[in-house]
Amino acid sequence: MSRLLPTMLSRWNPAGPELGIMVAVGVAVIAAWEFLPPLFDVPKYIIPTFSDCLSEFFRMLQYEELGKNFMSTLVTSVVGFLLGSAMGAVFGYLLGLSKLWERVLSPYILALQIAPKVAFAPLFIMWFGYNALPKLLVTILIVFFPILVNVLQSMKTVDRDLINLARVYNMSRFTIFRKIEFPSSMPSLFAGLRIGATLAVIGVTVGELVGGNTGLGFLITYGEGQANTAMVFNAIGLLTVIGIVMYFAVAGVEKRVLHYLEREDH
Amino acid sequence: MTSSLDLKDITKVFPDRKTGHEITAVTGMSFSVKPGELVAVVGPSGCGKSTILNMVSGLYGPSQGEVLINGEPVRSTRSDVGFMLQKDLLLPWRNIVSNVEFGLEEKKLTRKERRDRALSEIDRVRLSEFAFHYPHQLSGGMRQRAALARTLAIDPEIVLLDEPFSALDAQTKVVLQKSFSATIAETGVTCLLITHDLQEAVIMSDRVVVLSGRPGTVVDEFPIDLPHRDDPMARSMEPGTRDYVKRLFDTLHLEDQAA
Ligand SMILES: Nc1ncnc2c1ncn2[C@@H]1O[C@H](COP(=O)(O)OP(=O)(O)O)[C@@H](O)[C@H]1O
Ligand SMILES: [Mg+2]
Repeated sequence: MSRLLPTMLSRWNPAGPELGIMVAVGVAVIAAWEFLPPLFDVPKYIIPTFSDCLSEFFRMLQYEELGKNFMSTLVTSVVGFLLGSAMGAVFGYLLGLSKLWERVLSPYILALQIAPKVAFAPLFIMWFGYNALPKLLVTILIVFFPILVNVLQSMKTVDRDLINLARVYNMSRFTIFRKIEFPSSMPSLFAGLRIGATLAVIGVTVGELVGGNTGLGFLITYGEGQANTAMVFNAIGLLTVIGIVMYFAVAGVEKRVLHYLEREDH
Repeated sequence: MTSSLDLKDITKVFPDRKTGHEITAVTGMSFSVKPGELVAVVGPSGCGKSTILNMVSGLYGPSQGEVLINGEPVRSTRSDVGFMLQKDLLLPWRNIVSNVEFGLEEKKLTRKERRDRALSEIDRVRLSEFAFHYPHQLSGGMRQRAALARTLAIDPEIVLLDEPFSALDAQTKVVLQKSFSATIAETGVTCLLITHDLQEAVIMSDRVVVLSGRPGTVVDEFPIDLPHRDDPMARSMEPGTRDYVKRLFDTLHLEDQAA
């Protein structure tokens, strides 16, 4: 499921009649959302209509510091993503360079990889208090592992013959890493980054849900407390926007860096 | 500059991790290649042909015996040996010219000298038009020519070719055999061509070394006394070619083997 979404998004390149149908589906869904709940007497605190959400959006902008909360979540997601991926990549490469450490640490990595990272959020709050640090740590932790695992895996599958070629050219261990192993790992690294970009938003959200007084995750719990369902809807929508923006930012960088790969889509 | 190559009574034993038994890949193997000579090595698959190549290039040593280049034992990888495999081993993230520069980067050359060398090798294999293309934009045959340019760019004393044409379609193979032969003759470099294609061995080499099945050892060795070593197409038209191929065929007992 988490892999299906990225491929669906990256293939999103509509043209002609397809685009027309796509827009029509969107309009139909919004229309159903707007008119069906009142028709069936569904109360606003269960399903607020599209226009309810829209007016709530402008109210939030004015009275709930929506802009500030949005930026807080965006910045934490991006910073957590960058730190988590940098650390994951560094550890992945280091373990990839050392067979011994890889073997020694792999059971622990596997265990931590399986552990649900978001469950650490309350723990971090107990340790570090109600500030930005716990949600940043959850984000880093959740981003760290897929990237570490992808990088490590790619280091293990570098073409032996390429390495032998470099050895015949008398290249040092570090030069072989720099000129063969590191560039070979790029496609896997980016696959990890794309997963990480969507996970980062989950990390921040959980951090904010559990303990925080800023961010879109906080607005979700706040809206829930006030039975303001439209506020919850809006916050979920904006979190999705952040995830999509980050995903496409990574995909854009990937397309530039991996320009040398043959692509199926042209 | 060309060198001689001598294999002296070589045995190579590999430990087998799975079974714990040892695998003897080659045993008691001796043959030599004179400076500027092109020797083809043929033998059934698994008889240790690639193992020979790895020992000559210094990736690992023999268990017994010695590999000598110009009379000096090979103890580690050395920068005057070039090798080329069935796979082109081009780096997909580099364009052709920087792929050809790859082996030159460990030599003390200025950026300009390196670029000039690479471009002249690319010119030699007639890929100038594609110097700034990426490997995926080239056909299999062109990529293999680029790999030859990379191999020759370091100005090797000895070139080792491990089944360089076996991944290509029949037509491309013929064209490439011709272009490789011409290029190798032009450089005059010493060359060991590993192949399982008997026809290829006869039309491209000065001499053929025939190996037995595993553990590989030399069972026959004879010079090819035909003209046109630099032009395999012309040589394949020579009446003597068939007899040599027949001799290889017989030595390897291909007729007795069930498919
Ligand atoms: N690194 C290795 N470790 C264990 N066995 C090996 C290794 N390299 C080659 N062998 C074994 O040695 C034999 C000869 O291999 P190779 O030289 O690749 O054969 P060829 O190139 O003639 O097909 C094979 O049986 C192969 O399994
Ligand atoms: Mg082989």
